[in-house]
Amino acid sequence: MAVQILIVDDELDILTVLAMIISDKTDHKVTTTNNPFEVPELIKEGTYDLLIADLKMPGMDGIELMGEVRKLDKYIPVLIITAYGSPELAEKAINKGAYDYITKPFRKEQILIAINRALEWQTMNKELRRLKDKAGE
Amino acid sequence: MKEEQKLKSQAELLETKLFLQAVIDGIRDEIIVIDMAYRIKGANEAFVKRLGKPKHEIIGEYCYWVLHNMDKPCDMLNHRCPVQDTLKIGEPCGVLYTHFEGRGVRCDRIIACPALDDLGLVTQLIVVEGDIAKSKKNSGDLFDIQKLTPQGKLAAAVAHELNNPLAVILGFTDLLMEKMDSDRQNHEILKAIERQAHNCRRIVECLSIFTRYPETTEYSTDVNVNLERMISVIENILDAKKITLDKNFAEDLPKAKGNMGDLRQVFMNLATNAIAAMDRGGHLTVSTRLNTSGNRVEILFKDTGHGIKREYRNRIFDPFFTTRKVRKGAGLGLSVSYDLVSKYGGDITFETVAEEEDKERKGTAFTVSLPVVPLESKQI
Repeated sequence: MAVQILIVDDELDILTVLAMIISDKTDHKVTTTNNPFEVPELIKEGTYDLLIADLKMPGMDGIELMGEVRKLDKYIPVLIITAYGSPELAEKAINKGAYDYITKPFRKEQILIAINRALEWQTMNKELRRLKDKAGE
Repeated sequence: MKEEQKLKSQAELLETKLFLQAVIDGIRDEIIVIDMAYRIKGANEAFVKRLGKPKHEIIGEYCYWVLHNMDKPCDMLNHRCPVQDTLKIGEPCGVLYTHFEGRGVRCDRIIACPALDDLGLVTQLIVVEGDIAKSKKNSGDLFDIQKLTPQGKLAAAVAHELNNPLAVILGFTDLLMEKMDSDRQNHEILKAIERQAHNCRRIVECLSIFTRYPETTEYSTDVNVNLERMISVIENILDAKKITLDKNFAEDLPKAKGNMGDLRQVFMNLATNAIAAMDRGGHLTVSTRLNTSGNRVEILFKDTGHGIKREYRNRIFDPFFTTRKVRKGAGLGLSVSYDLVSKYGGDITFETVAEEEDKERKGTAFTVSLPVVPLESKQI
């Protein structure tokens, strides 16, 4: 089954370029939204393997969004993208549970590598949980 | 014996001179010493190297001639001269300038420090100029938004606003180049776009290193005059947005602490926010008064807009917080205003009734409170 990636950024052009990069280079299926408030609903309805979220969005920032998402899915890896010149806020996002961060402007290779790593981590995490469950049986 | 002592003193003097010259030549920043008439009395190697002229052609010349090809002290709009500032107030002054040199960018921090004689009088100035892009780019502690000066916050906002379009430009260019044969002419065009976008990215990086250089806070402003000027700028906008204006300015208001430019920015931010809150028209009241203790000037901006929702009230002074639509605001106006006012010992408070709470009484009132400048003070 194809990997499902959900991307949220208030800039439509960023969504388009990210979706193009991912679709061109991988077999992953991409869903995009420019409204962070839609994300919890989408997560509830779908089965996403990865969330890519902008850090700064009107109404709800990436860190707040992650809090909402974690209430619904404890394990989904979140990649934060940020246009700030510094990593401080993105590092804060990692402390709050994001898997990794990418700064804008990015190279497509950075995006693809970060996605691969996050998905590998997701697979290993799933396997670990499965083994733990098995051991606990 | 005396002759011997004299020779010894001369040797020591020469040794000290050579030592000092070696010290200033060893510094990578450019250093010049200027007398009160703006003549260059000394320069280090870094400065001489940048100018590309022999040192003897620089020494004795006027700094404004050597550096800016001007025949009198620089008087360029939006280009403050720290030398003149230091001569005015007798304290170290600094500025940050971005210079574009060919494909490169320099972010120069220029600091002028007064050199005093035995009597404590300024006799010459030491001017240090350095490209902070080089020296501080990787220092790691530069971008704590909370600690940035208002200019730094502005730079952060610019960086944020530009990095988004740059990500789009570079992303699409990269994808298109991949899809195109490298021998096509259009491929070259795309490469040029990519190159220029990378140049922009470097400029943004350069902007991001604006740091917190302490500024002088010894300014005073006639608040009423300043408000009148600000209002003359927004009058047309108010008309267009069907917003009526009421001015209640207190007479004989003492001067308040604060630089005129800084305060105008604060007033403009508050007025802009009020206008944005009244998208269906409304009424704006701008008033000034002296507080009851007589030690603070208060400036009030009261609008009949949609008010601030309860959940946003404790965040409105946070940097980058905005409730406006994309591209309508960077979320820095209030944060920058608060910092500017705080710099002068002032404060900004607000009262608000959101539309959801009470449609009749809806609106927001911001009060800027600034310390009064004591009459005997010599503030500029």
